[in-house]
Amino acid sequence: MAFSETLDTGKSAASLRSSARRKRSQAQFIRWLLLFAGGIAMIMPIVFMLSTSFKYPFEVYNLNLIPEEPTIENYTYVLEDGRFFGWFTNSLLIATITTICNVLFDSLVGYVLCKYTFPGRYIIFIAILSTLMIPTEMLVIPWYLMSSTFGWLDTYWGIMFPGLMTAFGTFLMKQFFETVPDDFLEAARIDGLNELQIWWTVAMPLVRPALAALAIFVFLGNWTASSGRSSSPTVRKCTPCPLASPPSP
Amino acid sequence: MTTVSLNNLVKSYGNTQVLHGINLDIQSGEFVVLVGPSGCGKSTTLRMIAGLEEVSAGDIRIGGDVVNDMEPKERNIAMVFQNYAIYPHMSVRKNIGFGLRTSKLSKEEKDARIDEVAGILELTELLDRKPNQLSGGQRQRVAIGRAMVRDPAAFLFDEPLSNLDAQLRTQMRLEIKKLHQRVGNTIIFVTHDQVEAMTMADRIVIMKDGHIQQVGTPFEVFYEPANIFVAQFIGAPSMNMLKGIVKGEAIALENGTAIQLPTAKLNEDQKVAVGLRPDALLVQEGEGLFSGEVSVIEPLGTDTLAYVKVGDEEVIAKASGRTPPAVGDTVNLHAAPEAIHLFDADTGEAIR
Repeated sequence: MAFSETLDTGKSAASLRSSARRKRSQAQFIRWLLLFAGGIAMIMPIVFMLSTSFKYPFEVYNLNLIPEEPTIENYTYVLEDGRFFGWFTNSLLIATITTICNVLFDSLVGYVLCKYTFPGRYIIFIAILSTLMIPTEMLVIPWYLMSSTFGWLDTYWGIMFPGLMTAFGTFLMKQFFETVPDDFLEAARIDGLNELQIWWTVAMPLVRPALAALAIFVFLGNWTASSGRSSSPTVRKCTPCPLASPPSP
Repeated sequence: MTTVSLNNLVKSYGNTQVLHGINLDIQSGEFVVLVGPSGCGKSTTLRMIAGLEEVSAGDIRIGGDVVNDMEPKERNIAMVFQNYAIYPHMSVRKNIGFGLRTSKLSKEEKDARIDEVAGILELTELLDRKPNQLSGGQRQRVAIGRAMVRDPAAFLFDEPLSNLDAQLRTQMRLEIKKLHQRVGNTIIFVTHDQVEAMTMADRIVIMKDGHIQQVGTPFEVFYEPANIFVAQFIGAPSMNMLKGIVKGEAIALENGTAIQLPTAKLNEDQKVAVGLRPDALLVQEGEGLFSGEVSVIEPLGTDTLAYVKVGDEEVIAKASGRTPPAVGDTVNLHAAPEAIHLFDADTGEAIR
């Protein structure tokens, strides 16, 4: 009797385990399915973009992935037109320099606001943060006027200057520096490093993920930001890569 | 090696004073432990010595020089922090060598120094590892190594064993003590754990609410506590404290019993507190100081702690580990006259 009860209990435990395993694998399958669907949704626009680049204009609005008459004419046109490399270089230069400056200045200001106590610290932080409420469109004309006043029109400096530091980046870095224990900085202080060395040697490597995120945001933002730049009617040689509106053949 | 002196040291945050005139002389090569409950000012004192907190008033002297306005790096001290403060992005070698970054030694000399310290702390095999590949004890040793490599005038330890488990804490306690015996530097160690203080210190500084309560050797603070706070803070379990009033040649305790004492230094009707350490209050046969009913027992192996209800008060006494009393038993409690501590109930100060 006791043996048969034990046997029954053993069977039901095994069946419970198997049912739990089945449920787990179903949940796993659904998760994979959703991820796969998400992946497709993400990659399809890029695939279509790539496919369209091999099509003639008449075929652009067809949704077929494989062009009926594949061509590399679009590529040869862009590459033969010398302006593309200039635009490309401009974009690369502007995006790279702006990214480096943002990573340095935003993290420096964020670090100071986070790790030092001084009168007005909170007010300065709020003032920086409040600039996020001003739409970029409102700033375009003042930027242009400023560039004009300083003689920066049609220069890299005129394009890059307004974006060398951002309120968002400062906020992001300040928040990340909050996670760096003060003990790390104090230990370095006792070991004889000066404040700039502590920031560079100790604090910056500890917020690498935030620096990477900030760098990606800033680089992409500047790489794709061609509309704002063209607000200057005289900007010619510094025009960035106009990927948003390629010239029609 | 060097001396450290605190002269009337005061620390205030705005209108709040947290240290009220600390005076302390630490001899060269001495191992001094600052101990006290949270908020007593022990870490603040240490941070002021390190130069991480400004001095509101008073002087700090290291090696005879006033260092109040010196930067931390100019004080030639090294500090080990509670969470070790070893950098996760650097290898053990780089972490240990970090303190030598600003040193004028050549690379070969720096490497030799790092290797020597790693050898002392048994970290040689781990020099290329990152901190996340180390155990808690190993990380602690790296933190100590970083402090040692600079050969500082004094080591400051800020609760460095708090994050370790009980077994490792005991082991590291021993290692730090051995290290002190080996290098002989002045060490100022902060902890809230009285066992750490008792086991490691040459002298213990007991603090409470920004005041020093007593400075003495472990023997002195245990056997000759200056006041009720020290008596109850040092020793585990805490000292039993029974309130009473002097009546003739005896002290009438609030628990309804009376104990005979030489009362030469006591005044009639003076309110006193009678302190009895649990290990000095023994459960034995025969008439003792007083008797009571056992409410709880805690077997510890060699001994058993008996919680005994005496009148309205509960005292902790030591009983045999082999033949402990049972809950509900009425037991007699004995104490040798020299084991009885007397304190003024109003001021809390010891009466000797």
